[in-house]
Amino acid sequence: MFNDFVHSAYYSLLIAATAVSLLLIKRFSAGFRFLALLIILTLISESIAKYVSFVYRKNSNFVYHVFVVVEFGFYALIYSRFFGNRQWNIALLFCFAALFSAEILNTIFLQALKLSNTNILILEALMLVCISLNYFMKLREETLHTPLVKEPIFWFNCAVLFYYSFNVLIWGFHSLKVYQLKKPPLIIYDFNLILSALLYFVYGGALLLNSYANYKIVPVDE
Amino acid sequence: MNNLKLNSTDVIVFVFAGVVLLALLFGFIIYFIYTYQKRQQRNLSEKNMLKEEFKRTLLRTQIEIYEQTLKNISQEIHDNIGQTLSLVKLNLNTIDLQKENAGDKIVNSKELVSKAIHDLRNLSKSLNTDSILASGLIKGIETELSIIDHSGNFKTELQLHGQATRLDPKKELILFRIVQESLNNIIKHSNANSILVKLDFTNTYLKIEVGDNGKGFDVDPGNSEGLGLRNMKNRAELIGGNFYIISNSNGTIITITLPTA
Repeated sequence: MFNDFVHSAYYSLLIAATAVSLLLIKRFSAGFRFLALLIILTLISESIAKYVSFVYRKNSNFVYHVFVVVEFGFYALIYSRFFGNRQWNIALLFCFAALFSAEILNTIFLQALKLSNTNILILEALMLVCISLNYFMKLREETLHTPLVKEPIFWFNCAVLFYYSFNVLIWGFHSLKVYQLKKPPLIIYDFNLILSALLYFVYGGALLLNSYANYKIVPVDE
Repeated sequence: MNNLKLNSTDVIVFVFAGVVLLALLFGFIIYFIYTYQKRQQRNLSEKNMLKEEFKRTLLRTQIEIYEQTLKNISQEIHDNIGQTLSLVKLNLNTIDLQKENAGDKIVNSKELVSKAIHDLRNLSKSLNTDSILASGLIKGIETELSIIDHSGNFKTELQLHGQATRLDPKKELILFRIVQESLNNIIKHSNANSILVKLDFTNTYLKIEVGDNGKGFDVDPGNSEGLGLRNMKNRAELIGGNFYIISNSNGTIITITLPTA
């Protein structure tokens, strides 16, 4: 029952965030436009995974093997826009290349396409936590024109930090139990879904804030 | 049963780890917001201080310009108009209508009065802020040079390079006053007979050069003429520009550069 509720909440918020992305995409700044595309792609990948598992009754883990690399690519694009300097562009490109290579090696040697790629999920989460912490350092040096709580970048970065920190914990704990040949507790899957639901809630809010900020600066006579 | 126990321990460990992580993350965010706000407040107070300092400097400069203007009026009235009118008075006092040269003296007095009126008009024009703001920097400098040219003591030239554009009127006025003071200094102290003003407009800055072929002077800020020059430098810096002087026995060049982009 609780599991159904969590699933419904997760998909409702993902669909809502996708709707915001589709409807307001022209109003977003460059970084948030990539975030909107990422949300749309997430819904598509989730739909493919569900379709494969429900209609064909087949293992859908291969979708996440592909999606995790695509997802990190989008995060790299988002942060490259936010950081806006050459060193960080190179660092993000290097991270992407490292994750891509790790995914290939992981699929060949450790977690095949039929298995969940938790090693790569942990690696991706660790990278994103480091990037978001660094972005907080950059944000601290900047003078923003609006209060911090009205800044979509702040909320986006908070969401990344919280969600991916917990992802390290969730998938780390999961892997630990699997390697001990024990079954991980069900709570971690529910917890992961709750966190994902919250992530898309905050992403949707950040997108709305960004569209509102950009809408305000459009001249009246246009 | 054993498996169930293991699972409940796992749940406790997981929840505990989650709570610790959540506390750490919240702690970090609160610390971040606190340091960010502190930094913003410091930046804001620094910005306000700079604004206040700018206002004070602007006010001081305005007072200096005002004082300088009064000094110029006083000197101009004393040296030119006063002298001319004294001469007219002397002429009129010594006119003897019975004598032959009375007509010449009257004609001479009429010319002197016309000159006084002309000088007064020029003085009024060069001091009128509104007329300078309306006509712009180039026109203002052109008028100043034409007045100097008409005196017959100096040969003047204005050179324009690049695409001339209008600046912020306040900045134009301050630039004009600096050029005006430089020209006054040339007239009073340089023993020059030629003045060249160059205005160079580029996409990013405006460069103004005021040069003469006079005797030059010691540009050491410690000398007696240093205060006026320092004021001109301060005014240039107030509007974000730079002020340089090169002077030797062949003449003096005053350069003002101002970013326009």
